[in-house]
Amino acid sequence: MHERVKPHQRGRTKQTLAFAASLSAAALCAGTATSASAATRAPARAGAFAKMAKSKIKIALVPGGPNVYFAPWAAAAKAASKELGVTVSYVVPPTPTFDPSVEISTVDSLVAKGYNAFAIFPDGEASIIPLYTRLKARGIPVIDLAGCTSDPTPALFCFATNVEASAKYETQVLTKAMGGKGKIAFLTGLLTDANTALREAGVKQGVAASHGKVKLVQVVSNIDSPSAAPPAVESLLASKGSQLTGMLSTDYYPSVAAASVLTSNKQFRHILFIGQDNDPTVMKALEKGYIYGTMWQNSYGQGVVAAQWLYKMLANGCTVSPHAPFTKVGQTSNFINSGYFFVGRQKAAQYAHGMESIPSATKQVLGETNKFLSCP
Amino acid sequence: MNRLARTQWAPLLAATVVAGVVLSFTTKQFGSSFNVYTILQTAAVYAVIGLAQMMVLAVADMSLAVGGIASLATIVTGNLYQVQHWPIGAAIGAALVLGLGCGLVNGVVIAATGLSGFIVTLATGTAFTGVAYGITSSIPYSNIASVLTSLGQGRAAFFSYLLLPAIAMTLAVGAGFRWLPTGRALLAVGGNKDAAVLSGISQKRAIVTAHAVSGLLAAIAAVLYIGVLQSATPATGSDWLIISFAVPIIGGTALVGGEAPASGCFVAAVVLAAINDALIVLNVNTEAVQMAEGLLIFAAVIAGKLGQGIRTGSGRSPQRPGLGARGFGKAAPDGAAPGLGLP
Repeated sequence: MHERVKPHQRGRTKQTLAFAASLSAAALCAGTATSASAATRAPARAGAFAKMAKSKIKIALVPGGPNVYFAPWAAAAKAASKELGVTVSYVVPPTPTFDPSVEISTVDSLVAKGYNAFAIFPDGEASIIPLYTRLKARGIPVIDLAGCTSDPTPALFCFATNVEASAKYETQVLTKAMGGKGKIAFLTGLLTDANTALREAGVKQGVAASHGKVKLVQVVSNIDSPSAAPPAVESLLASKGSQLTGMLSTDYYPSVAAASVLTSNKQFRHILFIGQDNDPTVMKALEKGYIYGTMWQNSYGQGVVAAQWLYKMLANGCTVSPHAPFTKVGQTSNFINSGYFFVGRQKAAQYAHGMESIPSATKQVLGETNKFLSCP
Repeated sequence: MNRLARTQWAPLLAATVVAGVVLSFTTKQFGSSFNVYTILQTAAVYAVIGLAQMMVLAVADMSLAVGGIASLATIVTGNLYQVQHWPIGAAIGAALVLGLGCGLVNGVVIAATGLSGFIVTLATGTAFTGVAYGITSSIPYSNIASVLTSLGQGRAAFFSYLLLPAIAMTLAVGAGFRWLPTGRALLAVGGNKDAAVLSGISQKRAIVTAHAVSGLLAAIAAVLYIGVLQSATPATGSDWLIISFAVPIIGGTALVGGEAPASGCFVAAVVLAAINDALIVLNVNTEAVQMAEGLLIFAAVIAGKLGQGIRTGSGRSPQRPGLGARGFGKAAPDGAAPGLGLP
């Protein structure tokens, strides 16, 4: 099967290598440039925005790219548009890899089309800042949604899951289920995602709260993709499966992979597993009792609250209150928790087929609108 | 045996086997039945992904659309089975035809316009992915036929059932390159397109064929992956780019074309899967995993090259089999264009 007709054309190999080298150099330069611009960004301010007629208000909810997590934003945009009587659009940047440059060009195009308020999941917490600065200079309000840029940032505030607190809570739920002791492993996402470090910190806090009775024996990160997660989870179970009491994931695809492996391999079902989000594979495994639970986030509520508050800023001239009861988290001091929720086996059937949403958390945040916004 | 030792991937395979044996003694879980199954399950899919890229590398081209075609094939399978209620066999058949068609489009556009495969497949791959996300609104199909989940998750002791289609594909591609005139024509075009054209081989037909078969293999890999993940998600293929190149290159496929060892592709897939597995089994610091993977791939390629140099230095230049027998001229012992008197 080993065929060869004619090797070489070495000149072409050199051209290929030179091309690859120039691409790498360009990428390095681009990275340096974005870091430099991030270092000089302006501090956050809660400025007033020009009041405008309903017919002129166009709000965009912009996720990082196509991902199932953001899918409820589409329904939220539709509902908000109907309720408020203004344009609220869910616009997905065409970048499965969450490339900041694609997200930036998508938002620039929306501005050119007349959109004048944005809630954005920031792809690259530093590289998105120049875009935010341009939006702010044009009097366009922008909110970080589902992920935060770091202070100082032109974003008015960040409305997202408190991933650190959620991971800590998830670990504590698991610890309790394990009877307060045992060995656990932690599956998480991309190293480039700032949230990964926060999630790991949350898990370690949860473990520390057990005063040494729970041991975190392995962290497997960088596996939040459909190709990377299954083999990583299987390798982990092959090597540590017999000694693990519990396992938890804070990301989507590791949760799907773990649920899938535990569904197919009963020899590992002594491990109590808590996953993340509501993929049908996870929910099916939960209903059948193969996993212990999953953490839900308030994806739908994020879209609803962002649209409502951006509308108030433009329609009513509301501003962010200087006395807003923001929470301080790792990246920013202007943080609002959109909510998280543990779904266990008892509630699996109830939540199995619903959209990822926590209505009570949404209601609570909307009920506190007057604390966060000052309206004339 | 002598021929096996002369292959570029032989040192790599030997090093992996030795490392595997050592690891089995030092870390008992590494040699466990489930862990070997894990490695082979991953390797099976990697091998088919690698074969998809190897087809176009054989004609000195490349495809950045392997992942995009896989994404679309995944979604078509999921949609036809779950939403349109087609029988699973028909849904898979449609996905494979679609993969073939996508590859055909790539090949025809490249052959007709003379544009680089890099440019064309960059564009079409992105478009295919976009269509897949558009069809699903990013939401995966989860009602997966039991035959697929049995294939993806099934095993007999350490033997993953996914190995059956992967080995079949490897043998088919290898046999195609070795014995079919079309396969030999692809290698001839990849090795020296001018010589191939002068000997009456259509370069355009070779490019179209290579991309079409590549598309079909990408779709097969996608279908296999549905069973592994028990879900048909448009994100399938999003991170296949590195795997698709690493597997054939480590396996001895020449970037400049003309050399496409399917068996090397399979061995490289096993090696890569074993490396990934070993890093987790050994609990290597997660921040160092990517760096270690990169270094190991680099070391594997260097080892292969060194082995090749030693073999060439020993004066045992590998035989270029077959072309002479098929009427394209006798293979020259130094690897020059066979029988056409070209430089």
